[in-house]
Amino acid sequence: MNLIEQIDHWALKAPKAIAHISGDRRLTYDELRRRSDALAGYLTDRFGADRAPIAVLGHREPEMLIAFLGAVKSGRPYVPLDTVLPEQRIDKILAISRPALLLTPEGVAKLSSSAAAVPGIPAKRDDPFYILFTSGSTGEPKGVVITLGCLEHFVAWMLEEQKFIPLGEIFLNTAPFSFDLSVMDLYCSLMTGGTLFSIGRDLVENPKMLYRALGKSAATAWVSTPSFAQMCLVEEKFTETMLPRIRRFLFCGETLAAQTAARLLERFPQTEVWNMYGPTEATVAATSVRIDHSILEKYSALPVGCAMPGTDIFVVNGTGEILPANERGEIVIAGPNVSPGYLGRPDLTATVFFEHRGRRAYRTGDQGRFRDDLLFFEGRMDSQLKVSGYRIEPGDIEANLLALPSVRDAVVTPVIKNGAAQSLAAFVVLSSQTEASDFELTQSLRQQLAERLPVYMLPRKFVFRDAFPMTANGKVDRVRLAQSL
Amino acid sequence: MNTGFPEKVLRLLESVAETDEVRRNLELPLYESQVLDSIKTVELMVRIEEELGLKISPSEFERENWGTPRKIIADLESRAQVTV
Repeated sequence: MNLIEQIDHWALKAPKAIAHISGDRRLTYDELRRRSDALAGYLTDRFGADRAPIAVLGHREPEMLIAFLGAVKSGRPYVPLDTVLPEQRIDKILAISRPALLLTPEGVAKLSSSAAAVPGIPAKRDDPFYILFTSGSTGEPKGVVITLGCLEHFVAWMLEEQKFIPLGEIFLNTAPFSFDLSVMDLYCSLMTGGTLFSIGRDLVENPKMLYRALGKSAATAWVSTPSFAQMCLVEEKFTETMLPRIRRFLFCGETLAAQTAARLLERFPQTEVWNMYGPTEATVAATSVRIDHSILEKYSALPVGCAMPGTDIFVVNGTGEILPANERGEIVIAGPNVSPGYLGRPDLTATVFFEHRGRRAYRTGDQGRFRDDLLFFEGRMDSQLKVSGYRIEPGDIEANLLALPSVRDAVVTPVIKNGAAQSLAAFVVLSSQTEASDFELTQSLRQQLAERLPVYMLPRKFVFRDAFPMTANGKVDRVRLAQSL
Repeated sequence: MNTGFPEKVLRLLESVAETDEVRRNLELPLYESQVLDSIKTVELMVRIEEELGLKISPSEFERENWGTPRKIIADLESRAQVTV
């Protein structure tokens, strides 16, 4: 059985089992199968042999799951888009991905209600399954193509390692479907007949409601960025009493601080804490390690673990030679989980993807080293940042700032607190003098930028300068700017 | 009540919000103007506990009570009085 057949088989085995909970809404496995089949039938009838992707725009509605499966059942990949993205960003993504159709929850509800015949297009391992867009350094988002084979390799490993109980798990979904961390909870849940419990944006913005929802979720598996758990830990009642059934915390997307892991083990002594690592280009995560007391005692900076079986991870120097243990270099991932590349960008693909012993390999741009057979992540080789788990290219924000008529020059740097990027700061040289206060200017620029970039990419702080300091080579001195914060 | 209390609160808020506008305009709508968001709110709670000794439980927190700098000062003053 391939991944899609495996998900569908729960509809026969446990038709009334709940596949997804979002607010007051519930979706059963039976509904998920019938409605995704109906949608796939519609897509096949309408678009025939055209395999252009299907874009899906929403915010954790059950219809998004129907649309994802409906698209792949009709032989088309899906492009998940969250309504948190501004219109201009969505337009850019649509221009690059050229979808056959943009589906909203309302559209899915309409198109998936007919009793159409099962389309029956068998998916092949090399078929694109989804295309996920991440920040690109020039202001243009990049579409990472993930095939059915990539996803199957990833999910098979998760199921093998985590030993989820079939029809017995409730997965917490904290990341939007446009962020690849959500692929972990979504497909681990659907493949095991589990329930995906979505935490919507309204809950994250209202702590009181958030803790109530966490308590109600009866979650058994927690999937989030470390930042999200760190935020939850501020509440003293965030303990086993609030989540009595929780068995594992799975973290990915950014560095897990030892202190966060230690506090979780203290508050949830019966629960496993796992640290995972991987870029979107290698399907969510490619390494894992269980963080227990012995690991905490041994390492102050936590390891990200060992490579998944069937995938090789090595550390290379500037000329591509594999380095021995303890030496720091660039992390390379090779295996069936590696993406075939960026959609419509053979130029970009060629710079970071290559063949290694007959397998696809990806140069991550991440620095790290092996120690005691465990991989340690040690930051980026370029200026790419992670803020609250979101991957951000400062160049993307700078290009969008420079597109505003009032901005002559712009530099974006991270605001570092406790060794990690907490937020972003933008240094701006304006095109002309103004009477407005710095606060008014900040509000105005943030507002204009919010029409082009998602909220998590908006700098919190704006610093206005008449000119930027320069290095001896005549380049803007980014280090001095960052130090001036 | 210590007369310096509002000043201490404003200093903390200014540091977390990273703008002195919170001091210039006590009626600034903090959430609508995106000066505060959920992460900044939690950061402010932690700083208030560390520096003012007032414990605020996120699970009992109402955003409306912290809608402006003036409202935050009033809320914390009432909490400080209860604590004393």
